[in-house]
Amino acid sequence: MNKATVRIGIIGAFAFIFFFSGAGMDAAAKKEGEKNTGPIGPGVLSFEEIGGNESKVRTIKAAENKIAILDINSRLRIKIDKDAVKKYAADQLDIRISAKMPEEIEVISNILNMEADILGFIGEGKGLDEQTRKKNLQTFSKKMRELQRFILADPALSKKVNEKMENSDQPEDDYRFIFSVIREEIDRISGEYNQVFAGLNFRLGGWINRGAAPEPIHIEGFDTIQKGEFYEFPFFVPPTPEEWEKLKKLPEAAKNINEKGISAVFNIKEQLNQYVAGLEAEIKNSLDCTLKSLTGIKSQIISRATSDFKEQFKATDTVIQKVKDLLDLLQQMKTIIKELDILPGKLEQNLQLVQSLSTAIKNDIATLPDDIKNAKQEIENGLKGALATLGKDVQAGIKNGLEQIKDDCLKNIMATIADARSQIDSIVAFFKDEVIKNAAIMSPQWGAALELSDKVERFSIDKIPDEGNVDLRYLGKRDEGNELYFKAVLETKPKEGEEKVQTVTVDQKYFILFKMVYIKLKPALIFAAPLLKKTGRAEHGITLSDKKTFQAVASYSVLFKFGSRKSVAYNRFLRIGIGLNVAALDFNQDSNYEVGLGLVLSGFNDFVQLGVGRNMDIDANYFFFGINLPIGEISLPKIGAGGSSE
Amino acid sequence: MNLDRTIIIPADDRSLAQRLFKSAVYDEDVLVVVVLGEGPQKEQIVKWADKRAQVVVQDFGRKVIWIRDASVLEDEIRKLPLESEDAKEKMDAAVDLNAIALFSISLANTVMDVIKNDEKINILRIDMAFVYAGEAEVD
Repeated sequence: MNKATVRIGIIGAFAFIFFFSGAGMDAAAKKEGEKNTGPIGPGVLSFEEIGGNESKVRTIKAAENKIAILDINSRLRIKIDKDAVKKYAADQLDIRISAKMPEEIEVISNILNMEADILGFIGEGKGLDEQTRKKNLQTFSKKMRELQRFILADPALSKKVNEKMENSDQPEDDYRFIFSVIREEIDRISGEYNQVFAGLNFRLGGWINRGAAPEPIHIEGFDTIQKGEFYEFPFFVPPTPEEWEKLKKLPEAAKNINEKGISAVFNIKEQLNQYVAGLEAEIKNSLDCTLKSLTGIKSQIISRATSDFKEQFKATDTVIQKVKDLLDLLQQMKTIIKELDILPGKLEQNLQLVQSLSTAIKNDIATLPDDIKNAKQEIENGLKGALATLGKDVQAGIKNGLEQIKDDCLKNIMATIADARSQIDSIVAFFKDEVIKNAAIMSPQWGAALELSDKVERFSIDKIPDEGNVDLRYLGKRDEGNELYFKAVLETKPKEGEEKVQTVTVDQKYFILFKMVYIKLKPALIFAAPLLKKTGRAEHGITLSDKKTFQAVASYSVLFKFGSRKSVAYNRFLRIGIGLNVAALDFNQDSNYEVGLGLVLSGFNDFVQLGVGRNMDIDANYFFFGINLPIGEISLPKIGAGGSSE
Repeated sequence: MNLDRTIIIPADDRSLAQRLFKSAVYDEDVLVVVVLGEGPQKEQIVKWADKRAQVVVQDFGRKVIWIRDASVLEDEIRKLPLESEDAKEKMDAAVDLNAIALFSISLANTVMDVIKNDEKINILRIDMAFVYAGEAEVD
């Protein structure tokens, strides 16, 4: 492999990485997330992630206007703000309650709970130093002023307290009176709330989305749903079966690259182009053949029969027009494919166009046999009266022509089309799976339409539990990128004349699961270059020439990976890892592998690896970079022009 | 009218008025409510303020200063630092101090609460002025 090829390869690698990393998609995805994940209610639900032991508690703000990241093995504590539920009900469900808002009542209630301490500040300082007494005075004043403001805002309470104060012989006792008056008022308001909210039910449900249909999950304290199977996402992640398969194919891929150049691995577009070109040639060939036969028959008849026949070949003309249309569609597809890697941002759009065109081509071709049949019928019908007048040689020519269409022209075309269609679909699906699925990050609307099952309990407003718990380890097998969704709803009494309970969502939250720290074994095709000049290479028995700098090598890396709690994009696309790389080198090109050990830094979710290592057999250092390519994942059969798809 | 905790500032002796005012504000660690003006309404305010001045919190007492003619001590009053935004706004707006019914002074000798004549004044509100004075930042 020469330097220019390597340079192209590196540029291609970065283009590939850019392609897969979805640069610029993060912002779009974030925007998408923001649009869809904001809490509906006034922060009814708040979440705490609990790590390996109870002391590791991380608060996840309910108001966070984006999807939150959770460790895949953590436990989740869901706290319910009951006052916020009431406030939501009051705001959204046309329930009229006291002018005093729950948050104000909460502040006041907290002060009431400190009554003994606050009133204890009245009088002497009990031998405390001046600074402490001043601090205590300040505390007393701040709390007492809150209570006074609460009273002054209510004319009835204000009148009551003023009367007491005006007639009091013990002014200090009036503060105790203030406490008792407010306590009575808070109790009254609570009673009012409970009466107003009677008949309203609160429910909390959760689901996990593993990629298929979302499944309900058990929230301790809120439902009778069965716990799932215990599964702990491993700290050590071995290669997946697919990655093992890839590992097996790496030596062959390395050999191919060393022989044919690195561009062989960046041939997605090339393969698509070849496919379309092959398809185009095959269609053109088959249709040319058909047209030639039909035209031959037509001219034979016209030349031998009367001129009236000239106007009787409309179906034949339809076939001719359809061929032109088909070729035009194929040309459009080629144009789009050319643009596939120009703008990654337009990738999804272009792939959709490829798919649409592929469908259009398929549909056109699907009707072609009928069109040809019609043309054949047309000729036969047109000739019905006149055929007998034609000579036997013409009759035989017509028969042969029609047979030729059936046997030779159309023999392969339908199989080719079906095969091409499925291949194009698989290529598009591959891109969608690897790129678009990742780039989209989330379309977190999937939870909105979910309905809570009967196993989810109903709680009256005053009986809502303070918190619910979900141990993620009891959710069965999970993978990184799986999503959780929680929804709190209020069920209201049916409207008059209706039987159905009204349900409103008061809050919701989406989470995405990732493992924060783990060790991973990752197979990779790397490109290694000895860190030696030509003369130095010879001394170590390296036969790689100075020009043929990089050698494609099968390897695997043991990577220590770190996740982010803040960025979904980082976890999906970047995910830095550091570790060791073991490579099967062959610097002396004797077909016996040499063991290379290196330090490796991986990024873009292991799509790219960089590092330095040492060839242990010939004592030479080397630099390497690696790219995780879809080797073996796409294989396209070759279609020769005019040939079959076999 | 029995006013145990009230200092009445004379209107006809500026020098004595200043001495009494400074002594009450600067020489003692007390929370002060200063009532400005005269008339039945002010007498009622002073009476209520005196009653609420009986309260002691952490050994810190309360006092009432009644200045029947604010012009006598205008310079001293204007010199007092204004700690709260509300106090600044009201004091700055009051070209004539007679527009102000009362204000409270903290242990750090800063003005905390200001109540104007056109505000609703009752004994609870006066107590609140004392309480507010206790909220000032300590050294």
